Amino acid sequence: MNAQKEADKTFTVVTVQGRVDAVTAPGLEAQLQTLLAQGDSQIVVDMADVTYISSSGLKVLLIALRQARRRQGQLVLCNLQPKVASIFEMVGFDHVFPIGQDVEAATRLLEQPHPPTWLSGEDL
Amino acid sequence: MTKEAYSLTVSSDVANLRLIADFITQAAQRASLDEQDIFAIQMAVDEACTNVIEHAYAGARGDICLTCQVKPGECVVTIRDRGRPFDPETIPPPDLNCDLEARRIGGLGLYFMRKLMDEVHFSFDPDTGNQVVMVKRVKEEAT
Repeated sequence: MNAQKEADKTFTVVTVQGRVDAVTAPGLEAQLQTLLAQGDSQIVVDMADVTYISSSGLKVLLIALRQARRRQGQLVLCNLQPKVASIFEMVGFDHVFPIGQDVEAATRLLEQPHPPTWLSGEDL
Repeated sequence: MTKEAYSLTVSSDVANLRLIADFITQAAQRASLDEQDIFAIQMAVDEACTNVIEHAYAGARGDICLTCQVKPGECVVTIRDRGRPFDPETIPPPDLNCDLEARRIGGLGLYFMRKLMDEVHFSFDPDTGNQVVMVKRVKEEAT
């Protein structure tokens, strides 16, 4: 996974790949916590290449979302593959996390007040 | 449909979760289960084994013994460990309707196991340790 913040942007895109489980969740947690600690509280998590997420990964994302909001920031997910989306839906996390269909839609969700919603780039 | 049983024993280390996932996936693929069932079974087993590693053994070293058997109409996965006795009744279910700040972090793994599988049975024996048997009703292989 990697985090990219372009010079003229106010948000950071974190790209996550592969499985997010008890093995890899600590690494994602460390990266998100580092961003939050250095003041980057507007975060887009691009899940396009995430093939699986377990409760370990969901917990890390939930904690990061809480912390971003407490810092008057936001954490938005995007590009969820269908199987990964179904995992979020199983526990109602699709109603907790703002989720965009792509990075463009997700960056617009960063600026929106709650509640979260599904948005595609074409809708905006 | 095959009635073979496959077995795997690994040490209680998260590094072995990928091995466990591959084992379950391959056993299910050999039995020609469909992709959706394989994903569900693989995730339920991943959650169960993560719980064994993190809670039953909680850092201590021990074995996790898995068997996967596909019978006509069902896939049965049995997971045994010799960690601390586990009582699922002590784990409250997650509240899926509360807001962000009120959401509990714990209990999701057990919730997924019960949601993804058709039956989940926990037992403990002082001599043999914890056992969880998970059953998934599956489609019969086309003949």
